[in-house]
Amino acid sequence: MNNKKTFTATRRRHLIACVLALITAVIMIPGMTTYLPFQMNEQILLPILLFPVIWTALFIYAYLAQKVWQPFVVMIALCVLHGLLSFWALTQGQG
Amino acid sequence: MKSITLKKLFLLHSWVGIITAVLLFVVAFSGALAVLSRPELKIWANPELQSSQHVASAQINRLVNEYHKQVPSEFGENIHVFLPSGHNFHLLTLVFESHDGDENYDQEVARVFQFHPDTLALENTYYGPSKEFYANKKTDAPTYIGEFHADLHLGRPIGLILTGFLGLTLLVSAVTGLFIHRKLIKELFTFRRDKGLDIAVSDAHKVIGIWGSVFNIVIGFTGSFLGLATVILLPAAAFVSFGGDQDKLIETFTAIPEPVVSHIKQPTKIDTILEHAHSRYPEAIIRDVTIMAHNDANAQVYLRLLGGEAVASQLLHYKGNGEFVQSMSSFGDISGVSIKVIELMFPLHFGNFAGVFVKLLWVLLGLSTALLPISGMMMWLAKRTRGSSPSLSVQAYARWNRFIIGSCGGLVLASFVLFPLQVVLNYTVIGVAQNSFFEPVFFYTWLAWLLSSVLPVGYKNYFKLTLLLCGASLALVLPLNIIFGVSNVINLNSSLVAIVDISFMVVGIACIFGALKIKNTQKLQAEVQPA
Amino acid sequence: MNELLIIIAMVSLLLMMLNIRKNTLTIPTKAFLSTLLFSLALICFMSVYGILGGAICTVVGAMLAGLLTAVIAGKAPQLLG
Repeated sequence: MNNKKTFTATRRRHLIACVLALITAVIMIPGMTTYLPFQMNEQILLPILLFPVIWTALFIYAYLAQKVWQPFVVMIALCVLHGLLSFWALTQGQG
Repeated sequence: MKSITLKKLFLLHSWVGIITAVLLFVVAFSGALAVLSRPELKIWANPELQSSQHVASAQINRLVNEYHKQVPSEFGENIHVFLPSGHNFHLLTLVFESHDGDENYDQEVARVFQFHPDTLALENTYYGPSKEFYANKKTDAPTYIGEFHADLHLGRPIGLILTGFLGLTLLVSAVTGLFIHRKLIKELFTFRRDKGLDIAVSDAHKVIGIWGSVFNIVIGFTGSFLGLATVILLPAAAFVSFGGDQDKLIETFTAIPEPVVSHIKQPTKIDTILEHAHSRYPEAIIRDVTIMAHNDANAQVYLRLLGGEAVASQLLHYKGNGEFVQSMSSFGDISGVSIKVIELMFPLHFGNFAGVFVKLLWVLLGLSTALLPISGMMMWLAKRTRGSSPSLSVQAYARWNRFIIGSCGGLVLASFVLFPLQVVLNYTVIGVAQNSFFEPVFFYTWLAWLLSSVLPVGYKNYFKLTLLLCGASLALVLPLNIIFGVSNVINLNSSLVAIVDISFMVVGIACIFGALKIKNTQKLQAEVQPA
Repeated sequence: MNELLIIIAMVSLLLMMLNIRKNTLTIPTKAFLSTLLFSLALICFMSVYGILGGAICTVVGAMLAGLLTAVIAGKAPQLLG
């Protein structure tokens, strides 16, 4: 199988899938605890349960996306958004 | 689905499969063995457990009362009774703990008394830090294999992270595999044994992949959770609400409240409580008992149960006078749906919620999961030897095959060798001293077999020899137990030991028979079939 | 009694797989028979292991039954004409 025709920017996709997907999924966990509309134990346990699904989806998306910048932008956006949510929650003394 | 998307998924499936193949086989195979490690194989491995795993409730009550009088008062704060069910220690174990230490130790310290489950003779005592006691408890062959499955004996957190990630990659492989197999329904039963090895392997991979897909997804999901929960997930979840303090999070949700000691003497009715639990949940096994403020009016007793109708393990809460308070999750009194799902992770992964039959289902499906990466590797290699200009030379193909046999077959051999070793150790080495034998025997056997793969032998002969040695190791167990064992198929002191010995013999003979069916090959080149 | 129920359940699941494999039956007939046999297995397992445990065992048992059927029996011979 000719990898060059199937995937564009293979090395960058490997980096996004193997590194950025993990970082994004991990950052999303505390971020999700700030906005899930449930009681405290659900807010904490549900993101933990969703981690494998989120990571798998991001990992596959990194390779399936037509352009390599698409998963990159999506993951960076998710990281920034959830990172900011965690930061605001921490500074406001939430939890 | 577009063909380019299918191509991408196929490539992704191949890459993930090739990179994780050997490690996935290692974890899946050891997991399949580990399903039976507690309590069946643990009972088989420990002569003390073989005659009986049940101690009368009245005797437990008597021993707790008797030995509580022998320890300083601060050691009565928390008493743990580990029953000889085959899930914890191989002896009935009473642990008297002082959380704040004593005059000799500043850390949590324990005074431990261990009794033979049958005769109730005092076999072992310990005084020292609690952590050391739990870290250095006696292990055995099946427990060693179970712990190897959990963290590859690489220590925590590295080992847990690695196995957790393998769960994630198994998820990716299972999901992508389902999408790329376009003729899912049509080829549900397609398995053409008589069309040659390549076709048989390809069909086997697809059939196992389809039928095992739900199981593989569940195992991958639960495995990744179990591996990564304490090292990544809980600390991340605790980051906002508890400042990253995982211990504080666990304490908030799962802490069993300390009772206020009233100093009013009232006997704690451990026997009544145990009998009540047995009658309320007759199918479940009581693993351990925690008694707080023993023989005080405010005493609280917690029983940890496994199995029965509840599927997930549960915690029963009683007052000291025997009054049942409530049943809750083994994590504590936590409400909500998520905790119910998390509770199910353990029984769904281990298959230990409903007796031997369910465990056999898990073992067989676990072995099929282990065959997936092997068959996938074989397909990948075979594809690269085909065509007018194959990317893999004859020698390289043979080397790859020897490497797979050395690494994966070596693990199987190393695991099987532990069982006859256990029988010999039970006869020659007493107690904790056995622990030092398992690691060198296991890892040196594996390493030796892996290194032997560099020898220029035909890979079919190499595979045949591997199978013969695996079969011989297992077949040795029954005769060794007859010679050295306390319980065996001749005296039938324990029906479980007899059944396990016979099972080992059957599997061993099957391996030997399978090995003898493999035709010897004379030349290395003759083993690679031309396209 | 429990052992008998487990055997009945597994045999039902194996028969269900053989039924699905069969080429000579129409799809509605296959669906009806499969549902019947699956329900029988479900009832048997639930009697032994409770509702949740029984449901899990039935699904897992069905996977194993399908796998064994495929490996042992293979694909049903195609009809001529």
